[in-house]
Amino acid sequence: MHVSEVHFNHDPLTLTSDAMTIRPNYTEGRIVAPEWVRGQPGKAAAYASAPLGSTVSIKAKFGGGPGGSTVQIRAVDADSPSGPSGCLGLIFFIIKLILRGSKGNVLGNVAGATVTFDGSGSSSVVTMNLSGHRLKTCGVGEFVTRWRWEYNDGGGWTEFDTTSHSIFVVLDFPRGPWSQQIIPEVIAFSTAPGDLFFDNTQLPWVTALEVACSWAHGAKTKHDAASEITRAVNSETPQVYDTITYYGGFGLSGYLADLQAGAPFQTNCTDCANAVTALSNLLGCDLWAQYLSTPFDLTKPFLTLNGDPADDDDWVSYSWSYHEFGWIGPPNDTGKVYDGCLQVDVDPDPDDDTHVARHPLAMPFTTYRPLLWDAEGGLDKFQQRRSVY
Amino acid sequence: MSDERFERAAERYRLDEMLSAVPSDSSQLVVGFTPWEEDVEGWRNSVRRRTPEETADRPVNRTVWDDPGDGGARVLIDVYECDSTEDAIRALVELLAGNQLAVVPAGPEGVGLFSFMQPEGLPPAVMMVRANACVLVSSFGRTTVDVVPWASRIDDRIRHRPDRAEDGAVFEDDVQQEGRDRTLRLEPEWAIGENGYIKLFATGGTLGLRGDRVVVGGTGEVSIEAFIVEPGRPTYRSQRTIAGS
Repeated sequence: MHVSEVHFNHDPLTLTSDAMTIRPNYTEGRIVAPEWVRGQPGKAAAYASAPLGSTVSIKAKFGGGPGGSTVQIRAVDADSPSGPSGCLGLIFFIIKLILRGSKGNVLGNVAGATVTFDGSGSSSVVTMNLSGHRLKTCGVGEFVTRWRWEYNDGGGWTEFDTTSHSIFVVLDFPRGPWSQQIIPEVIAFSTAPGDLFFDNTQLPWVTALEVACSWAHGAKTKHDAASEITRAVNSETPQVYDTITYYGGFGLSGYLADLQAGAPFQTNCTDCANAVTALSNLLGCDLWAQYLSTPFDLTKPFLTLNGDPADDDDWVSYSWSYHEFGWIGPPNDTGKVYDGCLQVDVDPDPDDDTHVARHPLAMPFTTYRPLLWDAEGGLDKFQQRRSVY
Repeated sequence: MSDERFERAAERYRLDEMLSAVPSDSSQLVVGFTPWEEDVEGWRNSVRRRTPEETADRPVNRTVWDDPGDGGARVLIDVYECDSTEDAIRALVELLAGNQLAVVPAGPEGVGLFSFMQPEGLPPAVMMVRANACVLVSSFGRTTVDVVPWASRIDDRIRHRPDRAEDGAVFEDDVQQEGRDRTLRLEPEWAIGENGYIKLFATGGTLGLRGDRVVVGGTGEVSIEAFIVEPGRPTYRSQRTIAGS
């Protein structure tokens, strides 16, 4: 007996009881269930935590079973650590628990279900509920679930297969530019993989989830997630600041590729605002790229992108015509800033040579602006969530 | 980009003056232009990327070149493929509007039909227009690179008129009248390689692009010379005279 298929996004129209619809990247079409097929490389699945209801399920299909028979099938966590034996065993047990908690199985077990095999030993696709999952509590992350599949034909549970799955968890359904739209307004639903009719390039990308879930791993609130993304855009990338927009539009594919390549590259505030907004909203946050027309006067000193607070040369001032940053709230003075392009100087005496760097993370605009300019006004009413390509 | 942002930049950088300086009796186009190894001092090509057609009004061909001796020294070259010299000038203004600086100073003398450059204190960059190409050449890594010579070489390559070429077909035979425009289709006799491109020079009128068709502006007789240039291969030439309409 063996597992033939496992379906995570078995209902693309909802997020309340299964995984959401994603795609590998900009160019490849959406991932269609089953994400796991025997003999093929597994594809990732992603869950949005907040919309999930009390019951989360997968679907599975089995083969090689007893023809014309019915058995119970379940799956248990294949990495569940056994109980400790002695002091050293206790230490290893605790370490395993910690590792499992941070990156391990979040889907729990698969509760037993009745599976009937036809004459050829194949089953139909069966709905099976998750039991003991941590999808509502684990926070943001990329996790690995390994299941040990067992059947019971009345003689006790017997192991027959193991499967391994890459699972992303985000806090809420992704906001713009991302979407879950897969059905055109007038055309009926189709399950054809990569069907151009349903080629929504703004479905969440696996390549973007890999980065966003890594940067914000463990975040359990939207503020924490957006803050980690903002901090990472500013300080955990090989970027150098320039005033030119290099990833206009937003060229997220190029940005992610350049991040992965590891060589230094340049971005400006628009690029950083787009990265903060797109990657935070992928996790379920509700940010916008907010444009601010600025006076042409020199800004007050700020710490440049990837700057070293202890290096005086990294505290800079420019005459800008505009600035752009991540933003939450309406386009007025009540909004709050997530700026991945710079760190402001919060030293109480702006006239001395001492600088205290702070990332603007949900910083009230009324606090943020005076740290850079004395002038007021300039907020653009048109907030952006630029489409990604 | 909002219309308001573009209009502010158009005023700041005097778009109308630049447009009025474009000649109406001669013209040049490049199709598929890409930098060659001779332009990049033997640096290694680490990035080659093209904006998806459906996402931009003007596709951008991006290449990044790395100094083999210094991992922090990188030069980015973006070539915006525009429909005409006028369109390339508008692309240049859009590029300037997306620059945070209050004012981007004028570029080096003799580089580009028009050019601008980053001031001291910022990573060096030159933004220029030549023919229907808007080109950005910038120092893209942590090590500062003087990109003016790079921009100058790119400019020279675009505007250079080959003096030796063999005969080869570049155009389809038919000239079509589309409203007030005369057009002819680019149809090279063979598939051009990744680093090859087409150059066209016109006297007596102007040239523009509309998809795979060359649009001939003006009402009089226009003489067009087209070249296919590829590194390591002979240059091929084709000549057409378009009658007045």
